[in-house]
Amino acid sequence: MNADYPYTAEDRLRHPHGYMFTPFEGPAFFAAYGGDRRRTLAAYAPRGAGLSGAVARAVATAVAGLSDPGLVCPVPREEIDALPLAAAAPGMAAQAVPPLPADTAVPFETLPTLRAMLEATAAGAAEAELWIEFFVRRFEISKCLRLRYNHPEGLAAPHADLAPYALFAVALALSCQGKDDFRRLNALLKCGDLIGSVRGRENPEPHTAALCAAAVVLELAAVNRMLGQQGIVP
Amino acid sequence: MNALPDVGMILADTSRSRVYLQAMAASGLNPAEALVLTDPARRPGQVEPGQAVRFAAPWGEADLSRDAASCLAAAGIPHRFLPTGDINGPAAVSALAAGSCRVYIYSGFGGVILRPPVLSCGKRFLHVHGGYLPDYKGSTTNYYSYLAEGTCGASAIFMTAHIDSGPIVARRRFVPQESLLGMDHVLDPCYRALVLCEALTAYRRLGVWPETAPSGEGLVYYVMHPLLRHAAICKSLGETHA
Repeated sequence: MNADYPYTAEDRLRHPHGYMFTPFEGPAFFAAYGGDRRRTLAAYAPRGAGLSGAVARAVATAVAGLSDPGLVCPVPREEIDALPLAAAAPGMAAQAVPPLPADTAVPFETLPTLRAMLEATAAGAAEAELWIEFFVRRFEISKCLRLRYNHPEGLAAPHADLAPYALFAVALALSCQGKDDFRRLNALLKCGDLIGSVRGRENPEPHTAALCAAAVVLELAAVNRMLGQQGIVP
Repeated sequence: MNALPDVGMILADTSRSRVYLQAMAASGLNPAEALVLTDPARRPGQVEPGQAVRFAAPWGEADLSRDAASCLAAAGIPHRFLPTGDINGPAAVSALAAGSCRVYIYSGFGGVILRPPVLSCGKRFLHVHGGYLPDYKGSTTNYYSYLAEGTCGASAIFMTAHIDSGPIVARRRFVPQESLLGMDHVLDPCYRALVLCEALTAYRRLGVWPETAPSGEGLVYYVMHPLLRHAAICKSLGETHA
């Protein structure tokens, strides 16, 4: 039995999905999901460049295990071999990253804060947790990330480009690596849908494309781990 | 004869309300009066054609083809239909404020949050959350708790401005005895109805609501992504049909 994966069929930046009362499609849904993410990976990975440090190491580890035929959503070896990410060598020079704001209640710009959050998460810094939770809540409620938060002029517009979603997704994936954190995996899956939903339209700069591909790889690894732990096998 | 004085109900015609009304009638715990929210559009939580099944329930049988109006009429519960589906709107707020009961069981349309105008209309709202509180706040929590620990839950609380954080009147964990395929319209309404009846039974016996403050903060969960939902259902199918 075939199943559809309709959650990336529309631009989720413009048309967020509510995910209420979604239909059950049977176990074939997992293959449909895996196929969708492989298409996202194929769209972003060839354009990507610039992964380095802990993100590159995490992606290299995840990629190495993704073709295991015992996984519910494997990525065939030939597809992995065709990805520049498979090498995942340290890339371009890292960008200068500002520190995280003092706390989540002060006014801040989202993009630099997400860069700092990814850096802190990759370094295993304790303060990253607070920020991951802040953005999970904001993203789950509004299905977007806004240009800035807590500014006195009121609610800012949603980010209309991929960069913040790619940063958020990778930080989220790193934060729930090896853990049974269904709340974070939930947000990661929705962010993965958003990233995948614009794969034919968006032409992000290379570092963002690399982060998008990294997010997909880390998400697939987390999903396969979760399915295996729940006793769901191919 | 079985009506609980001082306890009313405000409801929409959802699968949950249908199950509540049938469970309360079978348990002799009918509300003294009911207000029915209406909306010509289909709303979350309503029974779709093909979902109107009958099933064995702990109190006997539940029949999702019986709509709320017929359940209310059969139980002899005085009721009236409000010209709105908006619990937070002025029509519902004024109807509640003028109601004769101090406590109203809330069973409105899915995905709605009660706002200050209705929460401050002079009544208390008894709501049964589909999850074990305070551990599992928010949405679709029975799928989450099933993935995490193999159990579901329901918790009767008095609603406050903070989601799923009010005083707890009754709560219980459940180990599903069948797959989660019927979670939304069968299992979850049944779990909630059982806990609702436990809360009402305690009130009838004690004459007061046995409320306790939740211990701990718990976590807020958000509407579950279909992949995790499939994982929960497939896990339950594997466990119950292996």
